[in-house]
Amino acid sequence: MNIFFSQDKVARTQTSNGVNEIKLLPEEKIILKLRKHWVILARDTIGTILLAFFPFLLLAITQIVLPSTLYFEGYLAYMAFATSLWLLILWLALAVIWTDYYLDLWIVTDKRIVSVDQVSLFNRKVTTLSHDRIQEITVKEENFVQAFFKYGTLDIETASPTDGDATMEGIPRPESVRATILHQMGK
Amino acid sequence: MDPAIAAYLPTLLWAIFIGATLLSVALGALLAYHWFRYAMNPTMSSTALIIYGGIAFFLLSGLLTATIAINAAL
Repeated sequence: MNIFFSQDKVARTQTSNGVNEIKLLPEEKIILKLRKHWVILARDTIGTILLAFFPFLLLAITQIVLPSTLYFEGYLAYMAFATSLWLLILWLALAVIWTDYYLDLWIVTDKRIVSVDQVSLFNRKVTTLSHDRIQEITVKEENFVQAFFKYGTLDIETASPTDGDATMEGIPRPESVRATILHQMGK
Repeated sequence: MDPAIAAYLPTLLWAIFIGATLLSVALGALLAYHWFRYAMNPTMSSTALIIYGGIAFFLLSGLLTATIAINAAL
């Protein structure tokens, strides 16, 4: 079962204290809680992870090309200092990237859709779309990677000038999510 | 090593270490605020904080050890 699409997680969400932050309406039930597909997180972090190998690559190249430059007094301590500092900076960057990923959330209830977009630290956008205002739901799977890993973009257009529209990239199994929303709208 | 550089190097290394420590703690506090305020899952927030703190502590320990070793070698 896909962990991003799990009914168990929905149940846990309903019972956790934090759900009060979304402020559910009376009698409102959470149907789905969605995060972006893990491929999105992998795409956003792969560059940072690869940069972690840079000091070791540099050391290996220097040992091959200019071995005499390495063996000054205490060079190992200097290498350890530079590598630790480099890895620490990358670790902090990874923590911020993961936070942005983890706090992006879509909650589909039986009455509405709540889209939480963590743009950056202290920049958070929460959009609510009522089911009765939704005009059109578009699913986009635009390339081989998206088709292979079964994720895509969900566009929701509303009739309301205040609700606005919502777009969420990297939704796992977007066709299934669309069907669930349509089912809730038909109730 | 040039004596002029060697004179200032310990101060520079300690400044970098203290700066990195303060940055890690400040960012950790900011991230922890976001995790516990918005993540809706206290277990996940606690786990994230332990992993973040553990790895940051490990890397800062490496930085401290290297700083002490360089100062001893000067």
